[in-house]
Order: sequence, then structure tokens, then C-alpha cells
Amino acid sequence: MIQKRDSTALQPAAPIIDVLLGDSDGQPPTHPAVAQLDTGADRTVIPLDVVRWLGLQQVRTGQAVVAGGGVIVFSIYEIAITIPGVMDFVLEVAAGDEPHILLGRDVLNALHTHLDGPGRMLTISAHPPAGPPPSTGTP
Amino acid sequence: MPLELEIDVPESRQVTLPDSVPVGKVRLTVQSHTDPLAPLPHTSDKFERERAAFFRLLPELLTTHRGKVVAIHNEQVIAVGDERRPVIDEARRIAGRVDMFVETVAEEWPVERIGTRRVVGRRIA
Repeated sequence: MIQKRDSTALQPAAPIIDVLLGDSDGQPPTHPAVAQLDTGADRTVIPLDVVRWLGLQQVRTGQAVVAGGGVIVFSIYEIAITIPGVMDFVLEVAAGDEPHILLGRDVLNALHTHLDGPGRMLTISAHPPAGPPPSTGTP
Repeated sequence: MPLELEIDVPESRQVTLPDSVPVGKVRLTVQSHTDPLAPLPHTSDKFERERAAFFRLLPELLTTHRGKVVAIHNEQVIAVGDERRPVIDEARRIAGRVDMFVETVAEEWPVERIGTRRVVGRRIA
């Protein structure tokens, strides 16, 4: 199964997908949200409001070098994230002031993704796509 | 008389001491601002207690459970194992779904890279 998503909801266009969020209590996640892909991040970051909203449990702390330099200590929460039709995850994530979920490589390394920048389209799947890779256009 | 300075240590680790420092043998103590126990924003009191307990117990844990994952609840170790997921599951079976502190027993932990600078945390360096 794959998910295709128009990436024009953000300006400039950005790779985003639809996800479902929930507590990691074994129940299927049901809260819809939009997530942006962040290949530069080791770990997924979720809005702090989501932590409060879902009542997520803290499980530990982490240390991170953040963009612009500096080291921070941050709380890590456990969350269940489903990419509908693609894959389910139980993750340990950081919380941030970003309005969107930022899916880091803890998620992306499990997936096959293709970003068609000029076509403003992201395709994401759990399995490699059949056939030749999509055309990338003129460099 | 003790002299206390606050300086930025460069990558080279080479610093120049002021003229008021006497020539000869002295004792230098270096204290960094990296404090893993600095209070974090938006955390529960229970989580902070469990986190403090982990670091308080750490010297002993390093002799008994080095490299293992431990779960701290009510300031005590309630589950131990090699992998985080089974330890969290076992700790929740015992304590329920409450804030706890689950960490690998080690002397240092990896520093991650997170793209956004808007992660909610406390700057330590």
C-alpha cells in the first residue's frame, strides 16, 4: 500500500503525509494529523499540544544538537503513529513548538519515499515500488 | 585566595589565564554548565523525581546493571532488561501507565541531531 500526498499545503511546498496519532496503549491511533518529513532529524518531533492532548507518558530524556548550534536536554514521550495503509509505529519522540509533526529518520528509515518536487507530490510505501523508478525530469 | 573565572573554552582547549593567577603549581577545577538534571519545562514532578533517582542510583547501577535498560518508578528499579520495549512493558505491567524513567545504565548517552531548533527542552551548552 502507498500513500500519495500533494505537498502544496505548506508554502513553500514541503513533503507532508497524513498520519493518525494515539497513545501507545495498544489501541489503534485515531487522531488525524499532518506530518512533515525531516530527513535531517534522528528522531521524530511532535507538537507539545499533542503531548497534552493525548496525555502521553514521559519515558526518558535525550540530548540533542539543534539547528543553529547548542545542546539541549529534552523530554522523550512514547506515542503510536500510523501512516494509514503503510505502516504502524510505536516511537519515542521529542516535543517541540512546531505546528506540525516532523517525522525523523526513526520513521523514514523504515519506508520507501519518492519526492516529486516539480510535481509537488510525495509517494510513500512500506515496500519498494514495482517497475522502474518514476521519472525525475530534467535536472 | 581562590580565584573563580568564567571563560569560553575554544575547540583547541587552549586558554590564557589572567595575570592575577600566580606562576607555579596551582590546582584548577573545571566545571561545565552541562547539567543532565537541570529541570525541564513541561515535565511532571513524578518524572523529575524518577529522573533524579536514576542519576542518584547510577553509581551503584553501573556496578550491577551496566549496559542494561532499567525502569525507575517510585525512585526504585522495577524492571531490568536488554531492550527498551520489553522493559517498558514489564514496568507498566507493574506500575500502570504512569510517568517513569527508563534509561540505559551508562556513563554517557548519545547526542542526537534534531533538525528543528524549536524542540522544547533546556539548553545546556
